[in-house]
Amino acid sequence: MSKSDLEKIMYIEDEPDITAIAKIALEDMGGFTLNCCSSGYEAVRQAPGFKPDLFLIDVMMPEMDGISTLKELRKIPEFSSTPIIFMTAKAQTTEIKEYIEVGALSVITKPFDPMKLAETIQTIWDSRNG
Amino acid sequence: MDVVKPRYYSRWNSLYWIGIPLVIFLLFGAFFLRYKLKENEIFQVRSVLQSASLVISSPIKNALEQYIEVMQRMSKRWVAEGGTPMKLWYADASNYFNDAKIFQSLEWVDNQMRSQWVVSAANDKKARGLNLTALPSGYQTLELAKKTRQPTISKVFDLNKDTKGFLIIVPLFTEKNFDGYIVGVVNVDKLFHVLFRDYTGNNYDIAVYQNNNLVFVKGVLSPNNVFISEKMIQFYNMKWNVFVWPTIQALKKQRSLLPDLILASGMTATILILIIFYFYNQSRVNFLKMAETKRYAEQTAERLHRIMMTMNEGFISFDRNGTLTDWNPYAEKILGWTKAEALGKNVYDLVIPARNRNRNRIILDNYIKTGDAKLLNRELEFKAVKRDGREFPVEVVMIPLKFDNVYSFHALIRDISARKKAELDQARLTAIIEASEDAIISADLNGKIMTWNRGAEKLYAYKAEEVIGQSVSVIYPDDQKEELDKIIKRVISGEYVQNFDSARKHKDGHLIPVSVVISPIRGVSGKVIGGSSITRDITELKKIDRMKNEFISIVSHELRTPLTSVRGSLGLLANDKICHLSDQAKQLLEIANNNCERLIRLINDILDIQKIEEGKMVFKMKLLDLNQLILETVEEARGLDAKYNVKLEFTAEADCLVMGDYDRLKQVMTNLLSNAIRYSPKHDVVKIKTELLSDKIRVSVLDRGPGIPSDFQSKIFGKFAQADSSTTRVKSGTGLGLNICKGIVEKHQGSIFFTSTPGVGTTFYFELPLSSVNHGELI
Repeated sequence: MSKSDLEKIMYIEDEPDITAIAKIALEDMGGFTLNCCSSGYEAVRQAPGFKPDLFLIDVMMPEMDGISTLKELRKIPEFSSTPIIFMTAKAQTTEIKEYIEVGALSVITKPFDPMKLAETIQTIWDSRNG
Repeated sequence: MDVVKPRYYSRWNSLYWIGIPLVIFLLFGAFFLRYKLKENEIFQVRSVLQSASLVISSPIKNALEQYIEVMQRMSKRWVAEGGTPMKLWYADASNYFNDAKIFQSLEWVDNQMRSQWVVSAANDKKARGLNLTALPSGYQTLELAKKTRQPTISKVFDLNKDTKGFLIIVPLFTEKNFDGYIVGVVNVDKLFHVLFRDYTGNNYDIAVYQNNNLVFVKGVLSPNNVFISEKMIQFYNMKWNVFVWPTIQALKKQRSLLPDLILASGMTATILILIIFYFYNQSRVNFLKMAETKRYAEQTAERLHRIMMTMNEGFISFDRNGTLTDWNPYAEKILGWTKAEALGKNVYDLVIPARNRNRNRIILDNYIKTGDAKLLNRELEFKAVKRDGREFPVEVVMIPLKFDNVYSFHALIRDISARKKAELDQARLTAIIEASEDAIISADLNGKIMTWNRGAEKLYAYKAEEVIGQSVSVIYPDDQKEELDKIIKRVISGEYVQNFDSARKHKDGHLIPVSVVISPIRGVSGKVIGGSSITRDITELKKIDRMKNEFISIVSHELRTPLTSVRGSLGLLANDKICHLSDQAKQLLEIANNNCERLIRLINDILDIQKIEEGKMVFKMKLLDLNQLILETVEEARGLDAKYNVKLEFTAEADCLVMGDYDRLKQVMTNLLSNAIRYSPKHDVVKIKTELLSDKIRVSVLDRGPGIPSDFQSKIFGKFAQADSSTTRVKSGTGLGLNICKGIVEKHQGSIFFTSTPGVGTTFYFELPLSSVNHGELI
């Protein structure tokens, strides 16, 4: 993948409160374009139209969890290698290891600091090839 | 027991060297003497025989000469008278015939060799008119007499069936004529009867031969008779051989008993010597035997005495009444009475508890009465009493002896308190093992099951008798046989296999999750002879564990989700870009934010503790510069020290390279620093120092806070540890920090501790092992 600027992020989160906070943190504070989906299904539907540079996915979601969402997204050819970051409260060592193994670029633990979220994601984005 | 073969059995002694030559000499001497004496006796007999034969033979010649002389006288008369008148001749002849008593007849034979005049025994008709020429050699003898003109003697001939005779012929020559012969027919028997009437008696036998013809014999000549004397008598034409030998009776008379006596004496002496020798040797052997036996007995006694004095078993002796007669040192030791005190006392009174005395006495009395030794000569367990009155268990062997009708009893006493206690302990242990819910089994080094407790029966559903002697592999799942091999190898090497989780197979085949501890079993020599395992069914634990993990996971998620919103909202609210608040509102917002952070810390700490306890906390160990790490922590704490108005002072005294997990050690350092800052009085200094000890690095964090109350000091590293609630609120800690620090430091093979004086201050220390790299550089 050629190195380019991070602009569009698709955020998949079932908690509307957290979605709202993340939206402020990333759009208003970070200046990214954010598409928020409340479930994996929605993300799979909307992603081809939105064409995000990066997916930010909550792990614990009803019906289709983060890992399933990742797998579904990977089935779409244009997202077969799009960077994916998980956000989770279940951030025990074994779990983090599992997420990386299924293809996540990194894991951000909840609760996150909204003031630093954009910066964290940018850092991960910049270091993804290095 | 060894029997030493006494020396005397195989030993020649000097007696043999004297005795045997002596016996040989005596026997030889006796035979030699006898031989010499016999020789002498034979010589004697022969000498006597010589003279006897002379005495016997010479009268024969003399007598014959005498008879011939008589017949010559008749011849001279014939010549002188020119032929004696018949009447006169008969008168003469009759006189001679009667005087001589040897003639069968006396005859005048004319020159024609015809017998003319005959004088004979009146009743002997046969003799009259004997035809001389008809006799063997009669004619030749007559011719010879005529020719030689000498008296001539004929060969012997048979006078009749029983009697031999011969002729004495005297020729009659006148001046002119030959007138024939005077012939005497001599009866040999008569002749010798006359001759030997006086000489021979019964002592000698004789035989007379004329040219190998027997003339006369008296007695019997034994062919092997060595005593025989031969004399030859010769006159005119006659030659007789006279053999003389002693009769058996004479020989017997002559034979001396001396040689045989000598021989008999010699042999008797020999036999006597042999007998003496035999008895002497016998007594000598007996004496040596006795000496040897005595020495052996003395040695045996000495040996027994020494054994008795030194053996680790009490030995006491007493008579039939129980009066003690012996008491060895070990008896002194176990029973408490010295020998001097014990001797003469009654064994029943001294060592047997009062309630048992009669029972014990009965055993011995019964033996004396009936000889029933059922309870003797074997190990029996009794209670004995020490001098101080304490009772203790003993094992006793009672040995009865009876010498010369006197009974004595000897007891070997062994203090079995220790064994009894061991047996009791063993029984308790066995009971514990049997009662244990855990499966406790042991196996030998080949994996053969040796013991199998009730817990094992419950866990695996195999009965002990089904599996003892079988291989332990019956309880191993098929895919875990390798584990068994490894375990056996580790046990053989004497290794203790720490608690580990595994699975075992139930009799019905289903798998049981278990936790296992395996330890080697050592024999008396210290060599590993097998292994034991304690296996706990952790099915329920696993279930609970799973539930707990799920619970924590859910709780942490469910707690964090709302916290994420709260924290995010508060964080954004505090940002001036988003909204402008009054100072009061900002203060309230900060309070809310702080407590939100505190709640997050609490949840994180709880999760950390859970990870440490489960051993699930992952440490990324690498070489670290501890000074650098502390410096960074101090820098990060700047906000906090400013807030609490406390100054941080860091002194790095040495290069500190350690192997550790950066994040976790920083967590420890942050925790200690934040505690020190929060508990320090305002405007005070928190001193941080690293120093090098021999093989470790010590980090200290000193504050001059209120100190830790002494009654709380022991709980400081526990969970939710805070001295009092008022402080808690003020200092806003979770009470889990030090517990986590301890867990992390210990995972680094380090230690954490503190010194604290209430009202003066507290210093926390943690020490980490020095990295070998660092150590090497310093050297």
